[in-house]
Amino acid sequence: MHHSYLDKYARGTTAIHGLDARVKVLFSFAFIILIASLRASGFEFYLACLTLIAVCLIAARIPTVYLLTRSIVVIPFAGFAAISYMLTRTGGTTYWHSGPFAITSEGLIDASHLLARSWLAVSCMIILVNTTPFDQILKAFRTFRLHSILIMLLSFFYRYLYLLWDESERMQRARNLRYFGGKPEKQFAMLGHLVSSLFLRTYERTERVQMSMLSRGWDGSAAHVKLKPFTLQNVLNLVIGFSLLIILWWISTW
Amino acid sequence: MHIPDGFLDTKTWITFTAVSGVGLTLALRSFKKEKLAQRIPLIGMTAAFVFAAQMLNFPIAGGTSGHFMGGVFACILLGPWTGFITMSLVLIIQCLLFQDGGLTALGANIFNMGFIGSVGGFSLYGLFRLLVWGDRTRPVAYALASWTSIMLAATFASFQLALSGTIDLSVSLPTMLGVHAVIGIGEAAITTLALMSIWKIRPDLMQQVKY
Repeated sequence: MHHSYLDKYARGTTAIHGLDARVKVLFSFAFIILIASLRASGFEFYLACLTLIAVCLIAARIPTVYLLTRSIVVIPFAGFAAISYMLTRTGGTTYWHSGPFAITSEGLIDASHLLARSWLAVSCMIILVNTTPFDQILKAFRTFRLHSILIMLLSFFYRYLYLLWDESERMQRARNLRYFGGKPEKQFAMLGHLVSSLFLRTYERTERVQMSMLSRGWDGSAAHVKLKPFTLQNVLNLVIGFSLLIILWWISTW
Repeated sequence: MHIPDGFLDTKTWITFTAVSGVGLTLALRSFKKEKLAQRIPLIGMTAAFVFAAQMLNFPIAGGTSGHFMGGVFACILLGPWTGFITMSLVLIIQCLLFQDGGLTALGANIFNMGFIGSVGGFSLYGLFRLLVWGDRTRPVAYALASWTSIMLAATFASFQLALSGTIDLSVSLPTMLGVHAVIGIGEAAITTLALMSIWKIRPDLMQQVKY
């Protein structure tokens, strides 16, 4: 496997990694919901959120470069949306305008808030999946009464994700070795064949996996996952986490 | 068109999360228990396949590249409800592990790409099949359905952004549709070519689904 894992720091040994998955999931989701639902707040709020993210990052020993490169995914959509948001806002000092579009001080501030919000949410999610193994996250979802079949499907997905990803990279490499560019329509034909053979290989693998599962007596029900009891320490951690969120909310009202 | 966090306001994301949650629960309930035993590996692995296939990039003009979404592809091969569940799984994993699309926007993304982009596209495919006859014109229906599914999903995404007051509809609709008209051509080309090649190699797979 040459590609980097999506959650390659998930199995660390720091204090943050040691926290209960349910506490981390609840806290991060509440944090993201808080960021996403607060509008038009001062920059102190964003600074406080950034501090929180930075503290978690350092405590979990995740490299900052890793976080920055992974959080680039927000750029294509968020950048486009922030630019159109900036161009259509009015109010404040106008720096430039043409037709219905204008760059104003209000627009700049609001667009930067928009970008800051989505970046903070993405960073929080990156820290969550890089401090909690995915099976633990799924177990946490199970205790939150998420549909058991959905959990099973997600674990199947995660199990075969890297495998098929490797397969697709192998096929792509094989194509690049044997194929020296060409007209666009030729490229698309090639890609169509790649997708279809990837699907067929997946399908045939599914048939084999399913046969072997059924022959070992699988009846379609999920194996029961035993979770550690929710201790007083977890409750305490959760209370501390939510008090932090209340402080953040209080900062946003400044 | 994965909407990140912070772009939808509270009323919009709560509405769409509820709609998608109910839709997904109904789709999961619609499977009978004994049928599910045979379906779970298939759905889980097809979702992983869609994720892997989205890693295959194709060049668009100007050094950028696009990738395939796979909603209509999954629906035509697996049936509309299975396709919907598959696409929802892909979106959930993309949100959790890949940070493509926000957590609060997950419901809206599942609605746009999971429901409208695949089940919607699939119904359009049924419609286009009525308009074109015979196996020779089959690719036309594939191409039209997948292109329209992308456009529909983009339209819904811009409506959601406008509803949240983030971007005005007069700005977002033309830009989103303009960008996705080009992306949709790539999607249509790959979906059609891939389905035609499956039709050649394993025609039995395409006759399994009753539609």
